[in-house]
Amino acid sequence: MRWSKEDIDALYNGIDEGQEFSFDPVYFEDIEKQLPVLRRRTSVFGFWLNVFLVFLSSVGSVAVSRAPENVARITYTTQRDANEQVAPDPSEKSNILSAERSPNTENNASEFIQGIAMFEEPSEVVQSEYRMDVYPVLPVKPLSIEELNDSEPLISSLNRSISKQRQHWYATFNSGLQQSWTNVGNHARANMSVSAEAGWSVRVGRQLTASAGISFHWTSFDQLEIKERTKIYGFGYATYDNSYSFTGMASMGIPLSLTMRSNRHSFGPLLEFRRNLFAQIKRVQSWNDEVFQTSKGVTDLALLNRHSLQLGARYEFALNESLSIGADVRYELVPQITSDRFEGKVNSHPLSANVSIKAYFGK
Amino acid sequence: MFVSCNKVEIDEPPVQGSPVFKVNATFGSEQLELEAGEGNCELESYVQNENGANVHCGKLSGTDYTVKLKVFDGALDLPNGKFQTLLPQILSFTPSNGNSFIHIDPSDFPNYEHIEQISWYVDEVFYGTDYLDISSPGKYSVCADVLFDNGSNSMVCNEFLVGFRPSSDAFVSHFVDQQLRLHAWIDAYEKNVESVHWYVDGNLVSEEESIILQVNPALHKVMAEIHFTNGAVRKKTVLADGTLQGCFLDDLTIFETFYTGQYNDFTVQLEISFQGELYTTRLCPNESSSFDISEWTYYGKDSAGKSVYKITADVDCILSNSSGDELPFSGNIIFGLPGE
Repeated sequence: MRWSKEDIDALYNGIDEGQEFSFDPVYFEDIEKQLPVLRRRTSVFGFWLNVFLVFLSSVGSVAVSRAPENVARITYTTQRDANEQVAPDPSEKSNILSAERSPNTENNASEFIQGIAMFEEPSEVVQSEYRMDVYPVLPVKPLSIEELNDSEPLISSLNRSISKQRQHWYATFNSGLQQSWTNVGNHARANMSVSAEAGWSVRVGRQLTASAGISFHWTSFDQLEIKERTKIYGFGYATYDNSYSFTGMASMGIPLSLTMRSNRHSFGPLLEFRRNLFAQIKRVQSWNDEVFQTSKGVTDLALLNRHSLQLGARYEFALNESLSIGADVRYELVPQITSDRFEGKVNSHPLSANVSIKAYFGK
Repeated sequence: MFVSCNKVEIDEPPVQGSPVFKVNATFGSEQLELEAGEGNCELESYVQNENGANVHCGKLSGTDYTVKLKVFDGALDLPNGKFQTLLPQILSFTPSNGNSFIHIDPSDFPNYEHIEQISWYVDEVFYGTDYLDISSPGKYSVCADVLFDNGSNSMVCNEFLVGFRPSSDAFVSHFVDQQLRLHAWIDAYEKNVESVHWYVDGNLVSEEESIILQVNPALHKVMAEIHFTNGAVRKKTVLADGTLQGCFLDDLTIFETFYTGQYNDFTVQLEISFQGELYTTRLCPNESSSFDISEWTYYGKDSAGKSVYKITADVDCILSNSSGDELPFSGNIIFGLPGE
């Protein structure tokens, strides 16, 4: 019987659906007798371990959503045709002639068992080398044979590591630009912003992760100014100039995001509610163009919106299991400025963009 | 990132004001509009001393016009008198009938036959002999250097309030009897004398209302410092004759109100300069003109730190120039006047 890829997938899916791989422990006893080198290893414990592993390979994936199990991928190489790999029908009776359990360093499986098995086919008896790879559990769904075969060791390892964690903590540092208003010449002007974010994320689907956290932002302002000149009438007149230069604003936020992961790449929408806390300001007062008082400090947000809402999209690229870099773009749904005392006007399409580095913590 | 934790308040946006001091009136056929702070127009306020009397002035100077308001003080003899608290609601224009406020003729003196000559000094400046005429209101120091027919002479000085109503009125009367006893007392019609300090030849001799004092046979200067209940203080000096030869001089301040009942207390003058000519109410018959004050409030300090009061009034009057050309003025003025 010649096996097609569909047949192998069917075999694999069959394992996943609860079919058991038939296995007779007596075979291992025979193998032990024939392979002295293995005698030392095939203790009772080793025997039952092998039994356990094989058992896991056959039934573990069935309960993948219930408990961590192993799944086995079995490949056979027949002696019948050296040019192609032919896998026998698992329903056929087979006799394992030899078995050796070894750590797996090649195919991302935790270990493998290899040896020689006899398969009885309707027309002939085929002796074939076999190899049984034992993989850790894949909580969402076991990888297909194509996926396993195509996977690179690093990605497989990362996927396995991340997939094993249903929730984790993270910390993010962001830096970017924002343009919430236009300056005097009505030219959009970008301002530097930095933020730190800490939060918690949880997998809500096979590839979806939801995150929520708390963030602290500092946005630097440039040319966000109020310049007011008053003509004071009296015995003649005097000019009173009062200017405020907003140099920065502190705010905290609650970022919410939903990301879809594909190997190293994650992408998804984000939403952040922000509460602006205070602004840094410099005030200069002058009479008849002569400065008589300059003061610096913080001020409340009477002229700015105390709340804002940002909607955007975020992309992340995983550098390794615990570190990723990313970028996001955001659209500010609620304008920051509420007063018309500022020079310039509020940008009708306030955008911001950030780059970030994100670290994951916990299991 | 944070340079300071100081709280910086953001003030409310300033309200653009409007000119405070201004004139909006018709002058002749012209519409006269001046606003301090607009078009190089500024207001000055100052106290101008005219003949020893305070005149509170406000001058609004524009490009083409200069309008000046003068208000005469009415509390010249009140040390604690406050111009800003005494200003009445209705002011009259300064009278201008051309008569002298004071005219002193030696023949009016009871002992004129013993007076050979009187040399008059006004504010320490020699004015003339025998006759004294003062036609401008003010507070003057008037000294009479009297030469008597027996060859004796003496100078007696007094402060004259001319054209202003004294806040208190009292006069010194005296005589020397045959026993060379000086009798001196105060004639006060309003009975408002609080105390009197008597000085004879510069020496305090009594604080009684009247004195009887033995003097030697010579001329003696008797000065009474009279303190009135309203705070006014007047110093009046008479010349007593201890020689009993009629060489005395009575209280000359009686001439302050001898001839005229016109007073300049809180009267006003308006002056307008334009096209090189000065128009003033001083030379016009403004008896029927009006100056109605609708507001008189404290405004603030000027650049010199002096208090300035804002006066708002509706004015109807006549002004004339030196050629006698008269132009009517009617409108509203808001001026600043110094309070001190």
